[in-house]
Amino acid sequence: MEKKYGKNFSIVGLIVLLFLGPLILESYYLHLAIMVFIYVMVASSLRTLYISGQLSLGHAAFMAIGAYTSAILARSLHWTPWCTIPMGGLASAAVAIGIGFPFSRLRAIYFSMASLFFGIMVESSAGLAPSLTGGFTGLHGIPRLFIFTRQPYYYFFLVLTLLVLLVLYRIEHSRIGMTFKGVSQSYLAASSRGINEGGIRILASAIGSFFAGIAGASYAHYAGFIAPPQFGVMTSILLVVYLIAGGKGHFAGPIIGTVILYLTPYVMGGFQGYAPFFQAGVLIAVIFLMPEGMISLPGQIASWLRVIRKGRRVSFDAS
Amino acid sequence: MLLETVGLTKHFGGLAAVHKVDMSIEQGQIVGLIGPNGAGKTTLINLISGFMRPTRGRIIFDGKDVTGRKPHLLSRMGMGRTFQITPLFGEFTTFKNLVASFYLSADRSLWGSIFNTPGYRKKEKDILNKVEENIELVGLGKVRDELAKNLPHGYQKVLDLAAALAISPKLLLLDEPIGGMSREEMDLALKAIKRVHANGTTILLVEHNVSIVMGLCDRIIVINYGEKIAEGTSDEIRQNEEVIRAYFGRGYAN
Amino acid sequence: MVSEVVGLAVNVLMVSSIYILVALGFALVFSVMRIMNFAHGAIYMIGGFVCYYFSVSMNLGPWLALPLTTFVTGLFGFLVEKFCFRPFRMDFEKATVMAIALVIILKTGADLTVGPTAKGMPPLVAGSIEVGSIMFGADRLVVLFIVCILLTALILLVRMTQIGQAMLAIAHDPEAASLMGININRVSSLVCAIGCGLAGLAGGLVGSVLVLHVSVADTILVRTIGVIILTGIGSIGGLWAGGLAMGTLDTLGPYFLPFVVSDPFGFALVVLILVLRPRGFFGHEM
Repeated sequence: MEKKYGKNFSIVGLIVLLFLGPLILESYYLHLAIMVFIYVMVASSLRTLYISGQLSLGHAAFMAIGAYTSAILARSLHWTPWCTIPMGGLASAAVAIGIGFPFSRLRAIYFSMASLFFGIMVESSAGLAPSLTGGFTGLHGIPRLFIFTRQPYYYFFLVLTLLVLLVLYRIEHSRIGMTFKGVSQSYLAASSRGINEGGIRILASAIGSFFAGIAGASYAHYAGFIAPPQFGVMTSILLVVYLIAGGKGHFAGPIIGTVILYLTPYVMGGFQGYAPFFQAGVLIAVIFLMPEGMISLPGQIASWLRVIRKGRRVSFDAS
Repeated sequence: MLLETVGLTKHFGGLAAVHKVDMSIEQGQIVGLIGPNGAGKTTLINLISGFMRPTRGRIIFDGKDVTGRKPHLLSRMGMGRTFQITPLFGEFTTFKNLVASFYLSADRSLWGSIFNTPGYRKKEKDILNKVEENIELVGLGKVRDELAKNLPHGYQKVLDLAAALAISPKLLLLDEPIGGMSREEMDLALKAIKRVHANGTTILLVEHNVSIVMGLCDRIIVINYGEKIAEGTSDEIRQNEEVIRAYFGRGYAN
Repeated sequence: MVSEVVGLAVNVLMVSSIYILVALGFALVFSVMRIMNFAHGAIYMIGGFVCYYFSVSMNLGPWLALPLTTFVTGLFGFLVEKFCFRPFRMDFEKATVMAIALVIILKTGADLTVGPTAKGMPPLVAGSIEVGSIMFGADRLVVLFIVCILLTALILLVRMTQIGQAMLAIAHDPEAASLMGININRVSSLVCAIGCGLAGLAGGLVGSVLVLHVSVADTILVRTIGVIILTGIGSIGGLWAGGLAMGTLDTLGPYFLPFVVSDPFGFALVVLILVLRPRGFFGHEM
């Protein structure tokens, strides 16, 4: 009981701190925070797919679909972004369901490759209707959510991220979430228990894509400008890296992974050009030393400390 | 008639694994399916439970033609099965495995999941209660918090059985449920099977251990080389020449 | 007109052969080590730049630079296998993350040293060849020729030598292979060295025919995986078909459709094949 209260208090404390952010941070740091929020949402939505046994290497494509749908609707039809953002999410979900029918039959590695190429396909089809999509150079003049200052955006994204994380957390720890995890473990077991494996995987895809689309669309109406390379292969791959390096066994894994890996270049100040080396270094450290991801670090350190204190091997006692 | 197969046939390439099998099972019976190794028993079970499509023939379950239907649909109609290679959710504990198995009867609504509605919570409690009952029924109380993949083989089979019960099946197909079990595990499993049958579930039991089948089943069907060669009570089967020949070769028929 | 067609055909063959060569390296590494070396494209790119360095900066000329490049990238492959891939040989996720880390390192290194400028190398053989009234660039033919020789040599290596047989054995069943006394570590080292060496060599060859740029790492990786998908994961002998298909798509596509359409179209085609026939032309179920 004690432990749970402690954890809850620290989370609440963290949230309160986040709300105070704009009072202490400058505009530039607010921007960084906003970007982190966005990627946290997308990485967490990727996790929904992951726990159902589908490792998507093209998740950024769903950000793109949401972003472009919302941007084009707002720009051409002059609908308010507050309407078009959810529509962007729905568009992503619709596409996910559409490709879900053939894709959900594919096993692990084949699904990953298909998703990789799907992502590449989406990115490269940006040039198809340049008048609408702005082609490869990008789409300008996207109506924004608020005018001028950054502060309202910060709160918007903070609240949105918290809501999205809450929903995803509830789903993962609900019966549906358990069904997702079951399906990823054994097709036989799931089928003989009456679980429609294909349908469940499509559902997971739809949920994951929906939130990726929302995040992408929100970004579009924040930045006012989107371009294909922002949603390309590298972004998709980075999302997977955030997920795995952060910790694939925990809900908070992608959150930690995103925060640490995304912010790494920015804490390096003048050495920004060398930042990717540091990110790669973190990756290598994680897979060699922390196979369960960065989120397991506190637990690992705690057990090392226990070993040092007791002076002998501590047996794994689950009580 | 709860289950009926008509002319059920399955070809693999040029080989007929199951050939024109007609059989019928009445509600409330416990029927045994025996035959030498490789006779096609598991294939037959796979066909009935929808994991394989028959090349020819029909399967009628509970009055409806279910030939070629997918396994999860058959589960929902009340057909449960266990497997030789126990398919479990390995990373879940025993308890969680059973909870997952009960989700069929639960509403898996998105709304309820996200907002933790009272209806959702009540269902959750119902499920947890049912799982507790189920665990007691099959006797897995000791290992309820072990990861399924760490359980000894016999316990895994019993867990498979418990999970199959979760869908409140009308018909239960048991594929070698006591294979490789210790004496203690076997007693556990047999007790569970008897209790399940007493509860009103019809059972079709595939098993190598002929004496167990003889003692347990009302009727026995014998399969060899994919064809049904005999059917009857345990006494009739014991004396059937063809059956003896199938198991022991020509010289013993007498 | 005929000259155009012949020129086009030579292009298709050359591009296909390069794809086959690179994909072969990738497929060998995958079959023997069960690792998808996402850094393969980056090594190809590095090979191109290294070759440039030897050929132009150090003025050694292309014919000396190419073997040197192969040696350098091959050595790199050997080291990568030893320190980066060996610990994760059967762990797909971790090996993938490792490969991604490598890509980041290599691409960033290239970004910092070479920068965004494109580089070109002088052609291997100057001038063009005339056959009757048909004229086409001789250098492309030479590249095609070299690649064909390499591919033949490689096929002979795999089919005829003991170590080649060992590779096939490990690809088929690693446990059985090690029980039979095959030293998986040694074979893996060799395979990775060959794979990377070939990729680097291909990069160097292409550098003399087309331009060199940091972005080729991505494009060749995508093409390579496309070839592997079309051919089917696990098949090595069938790579000629996948490579040819991809090469044709890539070269002829822009001819018939505007570039903006042919690219996504090509990818959509790959996705379609994956969905309809995950095994590809020749692959076996994994």
